[in-house]
Amino acid sequence: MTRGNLLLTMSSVIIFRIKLVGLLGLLLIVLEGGLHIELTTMQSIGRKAAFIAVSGTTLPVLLSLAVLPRFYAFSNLEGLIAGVSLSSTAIGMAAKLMQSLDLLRTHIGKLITCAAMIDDVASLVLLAVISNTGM
Amino acid sequence: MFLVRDTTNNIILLCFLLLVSGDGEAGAVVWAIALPIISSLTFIVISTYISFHMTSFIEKFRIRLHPNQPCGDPTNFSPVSVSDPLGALPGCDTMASTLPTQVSGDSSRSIAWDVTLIRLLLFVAVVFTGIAHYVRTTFLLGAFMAGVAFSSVPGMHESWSTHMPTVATWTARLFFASIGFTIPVRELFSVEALYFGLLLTLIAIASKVATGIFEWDDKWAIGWAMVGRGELGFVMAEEAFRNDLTSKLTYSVTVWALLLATLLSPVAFRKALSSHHQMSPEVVKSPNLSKFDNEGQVEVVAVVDSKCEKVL
Repeated sequence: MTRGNLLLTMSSVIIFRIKLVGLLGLLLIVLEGGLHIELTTMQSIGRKAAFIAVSGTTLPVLLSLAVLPRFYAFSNLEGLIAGVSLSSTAIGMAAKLMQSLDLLRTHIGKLITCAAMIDDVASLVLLAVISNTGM
Repeated sequence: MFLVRDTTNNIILLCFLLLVSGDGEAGAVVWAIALPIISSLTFIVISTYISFHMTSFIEKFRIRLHPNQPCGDPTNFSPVSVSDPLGALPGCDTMASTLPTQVSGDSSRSIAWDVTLIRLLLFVAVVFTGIAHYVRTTFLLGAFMAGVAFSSVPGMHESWSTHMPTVATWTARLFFASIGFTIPVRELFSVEALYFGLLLTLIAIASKVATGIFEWDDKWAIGWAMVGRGELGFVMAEEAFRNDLTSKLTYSVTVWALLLATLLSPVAFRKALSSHHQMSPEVVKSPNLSKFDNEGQVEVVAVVDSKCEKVL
């Protein structure tokens, strides 16, 4: 093994290990997201939030599938995958903003947090479908 | 009642059709799409059911593991029911609560309990993640559902924010770094990627802002709040790129859309909130003049926003 090859191997192994720890980090992020779900709030406000979330998950896919493949650079599959990547919502910043303004307990705050959680679940289901069919 | 019966009949028929059409290429594609959906929904339903019963299960677990806990001490994260004012839950030590509490002994017991909660959560997370992978849904759904299962356990949030932030923050940073390693930087700054990136950003923003129509009064606020994208988008884009399903251009364009949407969302959300909910509080003057101090400041009794919802 030449020295350059050894460096490449070592760096790829290091990057692989970082990716493994990164997967653990992703798991913890998603775990924390699930921990913040409030099932009681969802029972009262869930219906409208579900509409918002489901439309927010399907609309990017449809729009991206309609617009992107019209250009020469993108195939249908790439349009679909770009849409699916854009389907999730993360309200980290919005939640912090609402918390600083004390809006989390109001109607709009509860609606946004509920919709974001249902959107998370819907995006995960979509990810499961894409992973199963594509890879 | 009849609606439920018809719906269940339809679902059973659909499942039967899926099973029957399972052989052959078209059937395989249908099954490949349907199986993750079915297993995900089943997983979600079961986890939600578990979360409703988790608190009582944890309570029995706590009694078995920590039998000498003093009763009714909120720092021990033990839920005290309204009907049980003395906190004499079975298995708790009523004598210990009357003794003068030794700070180290008490705190070590309370630390042990929330560590136990975290251990339980992580164990369930690992189990759910494994199960999720083997029922052909994504392992992330398993992790999410483990969080959901523990979401209404009392003391869980405090335990998490006491013990987990360091680990979670640093591993999350490594995750985003690992995503960043895969991004083709030269392609990212090419003219095509920038142009199509802007286009896809418009699509990304428009498709989420449009969801605000369901709440017409606050449509801009709701719409812009949902625009923020997070880790899941990067996960999907990177996985597709790694498996050669998308080109470098598509990956770069998607990354641009995710970044720009996430950057713009808080700014526009704040603007939408301020235009609708008055940010400057309306101050109610106190009638008691002695509350004026030397600077002539007024005591704030109540703060309401424009919708008359109490903010402070």
